[in-house]
Amino acid sequence: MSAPLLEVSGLRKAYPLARASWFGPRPQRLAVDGVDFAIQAGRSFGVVGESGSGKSTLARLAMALVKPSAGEVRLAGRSLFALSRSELKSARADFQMVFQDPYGSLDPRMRVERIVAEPLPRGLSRPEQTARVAAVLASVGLEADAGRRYPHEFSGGQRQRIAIARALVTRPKLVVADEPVSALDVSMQAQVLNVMTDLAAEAGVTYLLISHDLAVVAHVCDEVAVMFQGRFVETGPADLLLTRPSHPYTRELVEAAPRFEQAPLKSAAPPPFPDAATGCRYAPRCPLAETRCLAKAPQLTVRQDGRRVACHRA
Amino acid sequence: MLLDVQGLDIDLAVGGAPLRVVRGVSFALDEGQSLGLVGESGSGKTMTALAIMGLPPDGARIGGAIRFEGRDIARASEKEMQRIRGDRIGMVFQEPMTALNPLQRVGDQVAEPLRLHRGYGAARARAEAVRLLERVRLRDPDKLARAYPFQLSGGERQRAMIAMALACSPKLIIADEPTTALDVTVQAQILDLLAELGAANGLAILLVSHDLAVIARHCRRVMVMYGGAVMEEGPVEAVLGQTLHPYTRALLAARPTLGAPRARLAAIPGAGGATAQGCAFSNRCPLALPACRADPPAVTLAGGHVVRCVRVTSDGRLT
Repeated sequence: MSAPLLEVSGLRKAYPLARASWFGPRPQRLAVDGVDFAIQAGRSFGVVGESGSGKSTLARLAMALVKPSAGEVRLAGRSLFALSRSELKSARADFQMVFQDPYGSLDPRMRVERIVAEPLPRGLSRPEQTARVAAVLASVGLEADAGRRYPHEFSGGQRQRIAIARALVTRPKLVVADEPVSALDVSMQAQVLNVMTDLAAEAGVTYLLISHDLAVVAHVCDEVAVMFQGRFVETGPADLLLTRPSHPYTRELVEAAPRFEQAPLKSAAPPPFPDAATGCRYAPRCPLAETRCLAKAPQLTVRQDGRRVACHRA
Repeated sequence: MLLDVQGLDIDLAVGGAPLRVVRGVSFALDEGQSLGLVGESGSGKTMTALAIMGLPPDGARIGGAIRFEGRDIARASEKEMQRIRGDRIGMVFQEPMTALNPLQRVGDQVAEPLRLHRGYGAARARAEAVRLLERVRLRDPDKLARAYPFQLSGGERQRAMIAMALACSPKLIIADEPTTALDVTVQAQILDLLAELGAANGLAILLVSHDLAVIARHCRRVMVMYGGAVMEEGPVEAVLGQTLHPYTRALLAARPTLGAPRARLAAIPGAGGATAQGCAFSNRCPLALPACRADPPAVTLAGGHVVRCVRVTSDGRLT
């Protein structure tokens, strides 16, 4: 097998917290705490988790927008953090990012054609540039005259398609999308998700998709990782993980996902506070926790069906 | 009937011209019942909820009647509404961080309705606040009552908001997107808590959400709105089991569902915005006819399932 499109190994990112006392050490919070995974070309990869799980930090690390405290990110075999600033800039043509907010991420004073053309390399001739922009706008289903207009003239769903067009104009191999549809109405979400899946099928785009929404991830991705407090607790093929979750946290997420059916009334006890320092971080909330879960953190281990699970009991 | 809304119209003055954001909405809600208002942005669901609470935007004109405990509150003075809000009607909003005062201890805020409406003294209100926080299943209610909002997690803050809404034992709770800012696992817990408290205390619950799945899971009845008008309403099993309105069908088809085979989603064409005349959805509807330019008839089916669409027959088929 050739080198994976994106390979992440031993990735850690610590953010300093406020000092507890004037002369004491500065406490740190590990937003990402030892994450390993690889994305093969054509196998879109989704990361799900709650707020504070570190999934957005992971996306920013994968895009080399922030520097890790430890670990490596390799894009097509090249280590991103070993590149010089200019090398990184030219490498960015191969991986682009789509952000959550379709309002904040487009410059309101620029015409759409200029916004979309921004990531294109210098030295492209004017007609070439125009042709590339027109082609990419058409591929996300926008009309030919869209380029002459300004972002405010478009709906939220159309704006997010413009953001995707900008990400795709350099013909990247990988698109990192952080909650690309969560700010949109349901009917607009479908437009954007269709554009994403169409481009995966037709242009061979591979996604690293970050979302809190299991159904969205299952719709776009082939592989899924479930993240909890900076670590992966389970990863594997999307259909396997989401239909037969193995880790108790994945099970909790799948059960809590809203679906079109009535829930039986049940008591709603709040989860205990997560404060496991040495053992499994999910143990304080886990219905299956035993003493060994509090004593020792489980490692991600490969299972027979191809998934990796970090749980003593699963 | 606890709450009876009849022919509610809301006009906003936008740049001089009136804009009708809610058109002819009618529904009734009795003690112990739950109704979900579902719609996308611009559907008028939040405006409807705000009008019931007597908190419409400045300059809004309200037509129709809102009867609460037998009184028409659509034309009640602000002073009268202040007596009702927080006392007879409890409110839970989307953003517990902005709805809570950051400089005031949680316990004092939870007890505020009791001091305001029931004339409780400081000590008695504080003791009652701890009891209320316990009722919404917060751990360590004594400690939380003394904490400030920023020291609580999002889920804890929303529980504290629910405790505040419950303080004066209201008859009706209006919850506008109460869990939209929360994680799915916390969302399920908060909504289960609301439903459970409602069932145990005979509360009526009006839940407003953009998420049909949230409503389906936590309400008995649902009202689907688009462009200010009600498209389809009825028991959740009927509206989701025999979905008839093209808009409700489109909403259901537009969302990926867990466990369903991966296929292209059925996106709703167009960019939103209601048609001013006739059916609000007609300019985006794949089944629209010239007749849709007139107000659609309300077709009433078994079990109180009502569909407003010219293409729905009286025996419940979409033609």
